[in-house]
Amino acid sequence: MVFKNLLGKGFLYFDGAMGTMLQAAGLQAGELPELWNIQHPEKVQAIHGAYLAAGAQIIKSNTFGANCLKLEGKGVTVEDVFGAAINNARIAMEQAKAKGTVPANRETFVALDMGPTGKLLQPFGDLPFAKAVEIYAEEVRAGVKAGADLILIETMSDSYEAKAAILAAKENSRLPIVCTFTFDLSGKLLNGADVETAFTMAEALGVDGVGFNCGLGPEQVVKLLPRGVESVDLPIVVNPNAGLPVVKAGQTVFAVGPEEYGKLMKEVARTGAALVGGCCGTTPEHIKALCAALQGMKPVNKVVKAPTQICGYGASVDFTHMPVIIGERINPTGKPRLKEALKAQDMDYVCNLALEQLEKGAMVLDVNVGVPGVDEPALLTKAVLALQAITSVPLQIDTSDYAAMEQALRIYNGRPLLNSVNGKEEVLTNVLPIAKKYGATLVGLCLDDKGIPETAEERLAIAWKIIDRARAAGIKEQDIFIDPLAMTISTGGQNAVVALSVVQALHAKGIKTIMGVSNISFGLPARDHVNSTFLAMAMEQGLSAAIMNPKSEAMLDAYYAYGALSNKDFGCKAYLEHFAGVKQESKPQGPDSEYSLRDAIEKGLTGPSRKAVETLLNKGKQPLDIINEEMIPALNTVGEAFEKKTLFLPQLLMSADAAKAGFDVIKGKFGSGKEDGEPIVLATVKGDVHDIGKNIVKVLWENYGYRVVDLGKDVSPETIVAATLEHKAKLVGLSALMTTTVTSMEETIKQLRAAVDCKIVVGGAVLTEDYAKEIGADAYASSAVASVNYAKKVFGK
Amino acid sequence: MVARYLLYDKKEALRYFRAKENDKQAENACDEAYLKLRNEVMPRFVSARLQCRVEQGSDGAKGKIILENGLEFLSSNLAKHLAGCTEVLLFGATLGSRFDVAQRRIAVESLTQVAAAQAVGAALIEHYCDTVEEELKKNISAGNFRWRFSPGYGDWDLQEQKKVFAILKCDKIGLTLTASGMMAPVKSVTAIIGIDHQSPACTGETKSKKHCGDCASHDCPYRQEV
Repeated sequence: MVFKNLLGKGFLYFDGAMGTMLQAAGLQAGELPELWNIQHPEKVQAIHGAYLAAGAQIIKSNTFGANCLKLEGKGVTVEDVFGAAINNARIAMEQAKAKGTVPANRETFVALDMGPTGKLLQPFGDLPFAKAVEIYAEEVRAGVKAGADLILIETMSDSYEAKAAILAAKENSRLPIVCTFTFDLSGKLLNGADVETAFTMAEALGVDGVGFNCGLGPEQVVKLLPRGVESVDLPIVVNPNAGLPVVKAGQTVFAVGPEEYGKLMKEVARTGAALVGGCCGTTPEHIKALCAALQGMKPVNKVVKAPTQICGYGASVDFTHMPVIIGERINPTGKPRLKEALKAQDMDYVCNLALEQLEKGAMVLDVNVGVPGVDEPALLTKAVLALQAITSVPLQIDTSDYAAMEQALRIYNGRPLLNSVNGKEEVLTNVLPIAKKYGATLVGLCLDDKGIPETAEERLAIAWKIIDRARAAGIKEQDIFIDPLAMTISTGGQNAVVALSVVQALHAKGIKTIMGVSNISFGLPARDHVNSTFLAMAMEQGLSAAIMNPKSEAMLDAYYAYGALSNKDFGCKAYLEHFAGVKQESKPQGPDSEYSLRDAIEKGLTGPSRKAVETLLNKGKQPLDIINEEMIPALNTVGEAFEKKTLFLPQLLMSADAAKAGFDVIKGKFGSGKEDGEPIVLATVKGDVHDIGKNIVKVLWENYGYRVVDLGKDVSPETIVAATLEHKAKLVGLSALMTTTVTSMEETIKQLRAAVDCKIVVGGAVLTEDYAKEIGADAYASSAVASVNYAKKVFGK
Repeated sequence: MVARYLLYDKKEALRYFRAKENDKQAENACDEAYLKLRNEVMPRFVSARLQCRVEQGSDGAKGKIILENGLEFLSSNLAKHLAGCTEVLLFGATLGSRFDVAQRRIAVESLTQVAAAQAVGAALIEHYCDTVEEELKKNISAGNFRWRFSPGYGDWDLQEQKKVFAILKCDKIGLTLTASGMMAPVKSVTAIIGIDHQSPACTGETKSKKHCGDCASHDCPYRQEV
């Protein structure tokens, strides 16, 4: 019988630890356990045999830690190791049945076991997401070829890595997939995702079972289990350790014995687990005790109807209480400064917009980078990567470009909202399969080939068409959000009423709605008044999510006031928090304005610096004069004091921040002025991920008016050469922090010398004057100030 | 394994921040950074205890620590430091990847803040290592422990980090090594502690902070002369 048919019928038993057993059989610390599949197949088979005899039905292949990275230089391929491992499990099963240690009618299965890669994915480490998918894909293909019955993705402590493994499994096999995660006592993965988030993401990607393994013992897992059970409509797996690990005289041990394990697992079964087994420290005796303890019991009949959740890799967001606030600011429509930033691929600007909105209470961020003339798939991917590097809140991926959609959904670390599909045939055909594949929740716009209908009835007809088609494509009705499309009341008096009646009608049928609220007032004066009232009206009709500007105080006020009035904000908790915050923020404004710009910069005061620049601009002083007569002399004073060691690093940085704040005011009013200024290419070299030092240099150079082309960190020599040529840079700055990456700096210098005529200045913790010369640099900058001095020398100013 | 509580040693943080004494602005920056980071650290460690043999270097050949499983650490400084030891404790510790995310977020906002965050992170992981060390030494009797020593220190080449990772199950705590030999997450430490069962009990040398004398980085801004 196939594995899937047995899911949900009775308990299914996994085996226990492989590593613990291999160590007992003589595996040394530092030895790769998976090589034993080939070197000592009989020992691996004996372990499988012992578990089968104990009652295990699902045997995990001895492949947990093996992958192409770890097998490099070992003289065997992934296919060799995985093939041998699956074969060992299969042989053990045949022997067990032949010997009668397992009844002939018991269903047994070989699970292809895939663990973590041992690498962190970018941007946390250096493994690109695509490469992670490739690593797992190779394992899946080997497992399928060798005849595995199912795929077990286990001990996942990073939801992003789990996504890579699940995608690889889906794309390279039709086998059932079970995915289990390792949480800490508080129910979090190492990357911060909680139980609900990890399970939601796995379910959305289409696994057949999710669960817990490793990290905790049964006693701890049972406390997290209800959260898992309630967050997904899937069978739940629990493979815990034999208790929490304890260090005894420098060695890690697990203390829960077989009898106790069986007893504790009974509680786990009662709480909702359907597939049970063990992890570190468990033995065939533990599994035997487990099977005995559960004898005569039946799995809890699990009918949950879990709510729709979206997530990044932190806490998930559901739509069961107050409407969800989706920050709309990362959208270039009508925002020239953002357009400019997107064209220049300035992700810092995008990240700043994100942080501003989060601070004001956005729970989800809309990401739209649609500027004519850009490579939208590449830019959207870049923006999503940049945003998920700084925040774990869910994103709403907003594009009409199918390629951009697919690429962004693929690399996204979570379960996003996808904005959008609509009633057009062509759009439905293209978008629905993408949303289904990546498990995105979906925004459906009430428009079709004929445009946006005028009446509520016609819009509802489109909504139902979208819902029907999505359902047919395998997307659950509860995962769809209909946008009735708010049109401005300045061109049609019925527009608000129409949109609201669509919300009301859908809400009555249990369909979620979403709306770009501010559109309602386009073309009107004092828009906040209309927007905030409209928001309250829409919430009263049952709106599930509002796409809005969280920086609009009037709208936020209306949001919290509505929550308090409707009792959706129980006990006015959010209301009180919101308005308490407002009070605290109104600081006295006195002394700030008393600082001159030079003083503000020298003292490292950001607020006063901003204010002083505004005052000077208001007085009619030219931006260039402000920079040359006020800012640069102040920065020079600070720089000199730093070199004389009368002033220390913290003050230098505060001054740089203060000057930068002043510049940002000028930039906001007069554009970035990016075309001016001598270009300098700056990068942290390949293999090095440290960028604080590099960023300090960047800000100082920019403060002095140079145009810094910042290539980021871990940058290949080829990229640096290409950028230097492209921007005709006369100066290149390279940073490396570790001895291991100075070699990469040396290689970069070699390639630069061969291709371009430019000066090269280097810096970083391990470098010295001599070392810099040895690797061929023109200059060594011992500090950020030294790099400014060198730039002045190169450019003669 | 998890620590319950991480002490914020402001004095250490300010030293890593390279602040002068009584710099109130720098103190505020560190405090602010700490408040932004304290809920983002998820400290974890893994450890191993192995038998070893120590060979001193001679004639240009580096000293060696030969472990029971056959792996060898090559470093004359380390061999000198572990002379007389027959066992070692190895551990890997990290503040976790959430710290990195928070640090990047802070970096978007301010240079001062991100430099303060990095200093606070350095102080936190060092303090965490102290608690890990204490934990590991529990129940090991009659040992003369040597202070902890890490790859990259003295003449122990950073490339040797790979060997440390081959022994420790760093996967379990999300601690990884990049292709170029750096640890990710950023705020991570691996270290070795020698156990000398022969010599009399330690003479207070176990406090590990002030041992810059052996290090080749003479320009290091944090160098402390003993």
